[in-house]
Amino acid sequence: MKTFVKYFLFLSLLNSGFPLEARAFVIDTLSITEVKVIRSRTTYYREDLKSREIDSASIHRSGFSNLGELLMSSGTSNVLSYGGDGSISTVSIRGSGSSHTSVLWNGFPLNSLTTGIADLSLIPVSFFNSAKITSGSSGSLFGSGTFGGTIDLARKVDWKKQLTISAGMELGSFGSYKPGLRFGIGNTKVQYDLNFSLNHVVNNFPYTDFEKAGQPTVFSSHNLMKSMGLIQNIQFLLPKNNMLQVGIWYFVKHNELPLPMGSYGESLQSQTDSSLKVFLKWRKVFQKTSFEVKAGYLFDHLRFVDEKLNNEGDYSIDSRISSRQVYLDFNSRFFHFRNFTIDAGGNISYLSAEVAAYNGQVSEYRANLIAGAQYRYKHLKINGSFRLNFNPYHQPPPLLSIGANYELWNDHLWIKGNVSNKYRLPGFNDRYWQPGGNPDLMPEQGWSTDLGTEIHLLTSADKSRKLNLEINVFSGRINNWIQWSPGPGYWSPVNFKNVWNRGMELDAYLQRRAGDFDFLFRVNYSLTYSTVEEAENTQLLNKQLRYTPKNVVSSSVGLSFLSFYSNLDFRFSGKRYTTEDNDPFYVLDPYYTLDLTLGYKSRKFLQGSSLQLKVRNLTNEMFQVIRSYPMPGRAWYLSLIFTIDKK
Amino acid sequence: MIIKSKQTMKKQTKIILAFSLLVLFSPSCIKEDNQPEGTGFLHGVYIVNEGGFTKNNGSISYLDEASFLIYPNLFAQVNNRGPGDVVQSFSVAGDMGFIVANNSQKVEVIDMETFESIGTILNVDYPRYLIGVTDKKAYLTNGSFAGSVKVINLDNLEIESEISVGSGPENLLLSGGKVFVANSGGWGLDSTVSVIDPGNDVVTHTIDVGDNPTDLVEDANGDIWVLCKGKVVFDQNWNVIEETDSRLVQIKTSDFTIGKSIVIGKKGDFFSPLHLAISNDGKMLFYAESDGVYKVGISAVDAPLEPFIKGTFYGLDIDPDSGVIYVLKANGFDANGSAYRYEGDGMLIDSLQVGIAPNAAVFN
Repeated sequence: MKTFVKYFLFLSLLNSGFPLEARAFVIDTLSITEVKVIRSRTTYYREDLKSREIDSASIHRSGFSNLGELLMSSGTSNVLSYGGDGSISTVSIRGSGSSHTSVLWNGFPLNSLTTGIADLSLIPVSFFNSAKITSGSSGSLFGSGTFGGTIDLARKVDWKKQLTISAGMELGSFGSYKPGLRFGIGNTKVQYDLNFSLNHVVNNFPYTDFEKAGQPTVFSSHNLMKSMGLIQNIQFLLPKNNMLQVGIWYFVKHNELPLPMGSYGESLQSQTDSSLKVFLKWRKVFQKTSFEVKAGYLFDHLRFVDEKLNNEGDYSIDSRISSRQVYLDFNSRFFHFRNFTIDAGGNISYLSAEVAAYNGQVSEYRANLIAGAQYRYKHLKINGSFRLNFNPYHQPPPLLSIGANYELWNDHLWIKGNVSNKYRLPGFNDRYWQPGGNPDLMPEQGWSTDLGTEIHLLTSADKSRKLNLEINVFSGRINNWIQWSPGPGYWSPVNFKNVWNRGMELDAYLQRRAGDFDFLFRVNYSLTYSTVEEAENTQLLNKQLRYTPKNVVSSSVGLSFLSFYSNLDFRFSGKRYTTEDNDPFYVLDPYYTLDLTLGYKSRKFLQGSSLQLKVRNLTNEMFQVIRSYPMPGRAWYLSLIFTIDKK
Repeated sequence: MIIKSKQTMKKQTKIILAFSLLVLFSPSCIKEDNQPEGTGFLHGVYIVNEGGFTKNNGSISYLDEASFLIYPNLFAQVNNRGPGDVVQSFSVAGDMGFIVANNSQKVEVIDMETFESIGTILNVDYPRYLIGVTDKKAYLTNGSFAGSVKVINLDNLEIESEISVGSGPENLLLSGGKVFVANSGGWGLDSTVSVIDPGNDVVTHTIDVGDNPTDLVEDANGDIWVLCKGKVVFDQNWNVIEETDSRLVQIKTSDFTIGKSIVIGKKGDFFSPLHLAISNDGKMLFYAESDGVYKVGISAVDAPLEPFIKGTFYGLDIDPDSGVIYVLKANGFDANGSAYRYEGDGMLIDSLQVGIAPNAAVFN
C-alpha cells in the first residue's frame, strides 16, 4: 500500500505538470508504462496523433501577450488577426475552419457557444503555463469541432514552491502598457496561484494604405485595446489518494474596431467581451481503478456597440450576447489486466444563451457516452475510443478512433497512425438566430487519417544534445460544412460544401548544450491543400479555402549563455486567397516576419527576475493577415519582472 | 483569368470569341491598347459589384456592348487599387464617373474615358447615390438616420452645401426639372419622397408615399413610381410587433399627389424589395421580390401572383435603349456573382460572371 501511495502521489504530480527534475524521487518505484495508466483520457489516448507542447521559454518570451500572438510565433498554426496588439484573432489547423479547432482550458471548451469559434485574444498567456497542440484530434475523445485539432491549456503546479511574488511591466511601441502581478503560496499538499494582468494598447501604428490614392502612410486609429485578467488556481493533495483542483478565471477586454484600409472618416464601433469560468476537479485512485469527476461553469458576455446615434439619441447598434455553459464530466479507468487499459465515462452539459436575435433565451442539454481501450505489447500500443452523442436535434453517427504507436527502434524511432471520424454540431447562432437560423442543419461530419514518424537522434545521456525529427502526413474530409448564405430575404446557414484537406508536416528540433552555452533550433514546415470537392456553386470546386496558405514555415533559433538569452523567431506564410472562388484580384501576397528577443533571467539574486527586449517584425514588413486590416510594422517591447521565489 | 459564361442563344459564338480574347488581359492594369476604341469607357454597361462589408472587394465590371468584352474589376485594373469598401452605386455625369463607396465614406471620381481616378469626394459619412443635375452640379444622398443631399460642385469636386431631407435618403431621380429623393429610413424609418428644385437647392415638396421608399422610376406619362419596401417593427425582445406591406406607389407629377398604390410581396417573408426598373417604353414596371422578378403594367391595379423570372436576385435594371433586362445574382459576399440578361419577353440571352454581390447595372 505504501508503494501505491507513492505511486498515486507521483501520478498526481505528473498529471499536474510536476517538473521533470522533481520526479526522480518517486520514479524508481514505477515503470513508465504504469505511470501513464492514470493520465487524463485525452492525454492517454493521443499517442497515435501528432501532439506538440509549446516550450516554456516561448511562453515566457510572450508572457504579456495572448494565445494568438503566442501561436503565431511558435508554429505553423494558421492564426488570423485583425491587426493590432490584442485584436480579435482565431486559429485554424490543417486547412480547417476557425470553428474546427477546439481550445480547451483544463478540458473545458473556450470556443464561443454562439459562434463555435475561439477568440484567442481573450486568452492571456499569463493564464496558463502549458499549451499542447494536437492535430487531427478525434471526435470520439474530444467531442464536437476537432477537424483541425485541439489546443489544451492548463497551469502546471510546482509542488516544491513555498512562495512566489512576482511583479512586472511591459512597455512597448504604439502606446502599449502592460503591468502584471503573480502571487503563489503553498507546500507539498496545497498550492495556490494567482495571476493578475492589465493591458492598455493604443495601437496607433503606421502603415501603408494600399487602398488609397498614392498609397500614403497613415496611422491606425480607433484601435484601442484594454483588458484586465485575473486567474486563480488551487490544488490539494488530500489523504487517501484524493486530489482536488479548483480554477477561477475572470477576463474582460474592450476593443475599438477600426475601419478597413482605404476608409475615410472614423469608426464608432467597439466590442467588449467578458468571461467568468470556474471548474472543480476531483480525482481518486484505488488499487486498480481511478475515478475523475469534474464540473465547470462558463459564462461569456459580449457587447457590440456602434456609437453613431439614431433619431432617438440612442446608440444605433447596442447588441448583447450572453451564454452560460455547465459541464459535468466523469471518467473511470480500469487497469486490472496486464496489457489492457479500459476507460468508461461520459458527460452532460447544459447550454443556454440569451441573445435578442434568438427571441430571448434558448437552452438545451447534450450528453455523451465515451469509452476507450488501450492494448500494449512490448513496443506496440493500440488505442481505440468510442463516443455516442445525444443532443436535441440531428445526431452524428457513433464516433470511432483507432490508432497505434510502434517503437521501431528503442528510444530512436516511432511510427504512428490514426483513423477517426469527427463531427461538429451547429453553433447556437446557426440554429436560433432570427431570421435565418436553421433548425434542420445537419452536423458537419467527416473523418481523417494520420500517419507519422518520430526520430530521435544524437540524444546524449546527459541531454546536452538532441535532434528530434518528425514527419506527418494527413488526409481528411469535412462534409456538410456549415456556412451562412444569402437566401430569399435574409441569410441563412446551410450545409454548404464538402472539403478535402490533406498535406504534410515536417518538424525538426535541435538542442546542443556546451558548457554555459545552450543552443536551440526549431523548424516547422506545413504543406496544406484544403479544397472544395462538392458545392452547389460550381465556381468553388477544387478551389483552396480562403485564408488557407499552402506553405507555412516557422523557425526559431535560440542561444543562451548563463543568465542571458537571445532568440530569433521566423515565420513565412505563402499566398492566401481571400475569396471562395480564388479570384486573383484578392490574393494576399506571401509574407515573412522576424522577431528578435534579447533578455536576462536571473539565476541567483531575485531568482526568476528578468529583463527582456523584444522587437517584433524586425524588418518592418507591411502585410495583412486578414485583407484590408494591416498588421503593425516594427515594434519594440521592454519588460521588467521582479520575482521573489522561495522553495 | 478565366471568365465563365453560359450562352444560350444566337450570340454564342461571338461571345465565346470575345471571352477568349479576355483571357489575354492581365489583371494588373489595363493599358491604353486594351481600352475600347473611340471614347474609351464612356459608353457601355457598368455592373456595380458591392463586395462584402469590410472586405474592400467591391468593383465595377464594364461591358463593352460593341465588342461584347467584359472588363472585370475595371477601376482596380486601371488604378492599381480597389474603389473602396461596399460599392453602393455608380453613376455618370458628363465625362465623369462617380463610384460611391459607402463604408469607405468616400466617392471616387473617375475620368470616364480612361477610368482613371481624378479625385475623391470626402466629408460624407454614409454616402449612397449620386446624380448630375446640371453641368456644374451633382447631388449625393448621405445619412443612415437624419439624411441630407450634398450639393457637389463638379468643377472642384467640393461639397458646397447640403439640403436636409428625410432619414436614410437613397435613390434620386431627375424628372421634369425636379429631383425626387427616396427617403428610405436608412437604419430607421421614413415614408417620404423629397422633391428638390435644383435651381435653388430647396425642397419644394415632401410627399408621404408609404413605408421606407428606396427606388424610383419615371413612366411613359412622366409620373414617378416609387418602390416602398415596407417596414418591420420589433419590440425589445425582437418580436415582430408591426409589419407593413411593400408597395409600388405612383406620384402624379402634375400636382405631386399620390395616384395608384399596389401591394407587392408577402408579409412575414423578411424580404424588403429594393430594386425597381421600367421597360424602355416606360409602360411596364419590374421589381425584384423574394422569389423572383415580377412585372406589372403602369395601368394595372394589382400585382401578379407569379414571378416573371424565378430566382433570388440582388439587383435588377433595364437597358433604356435596348430594353434588355439585367438580373443580378450574388453568390454570397466571398465569391463572384452573375449577371443574367433577358429579352423583354423573358427569354434568357446569356449570363456573365461579374464581381462580388452585384447590385445594379448602369447604362451610359
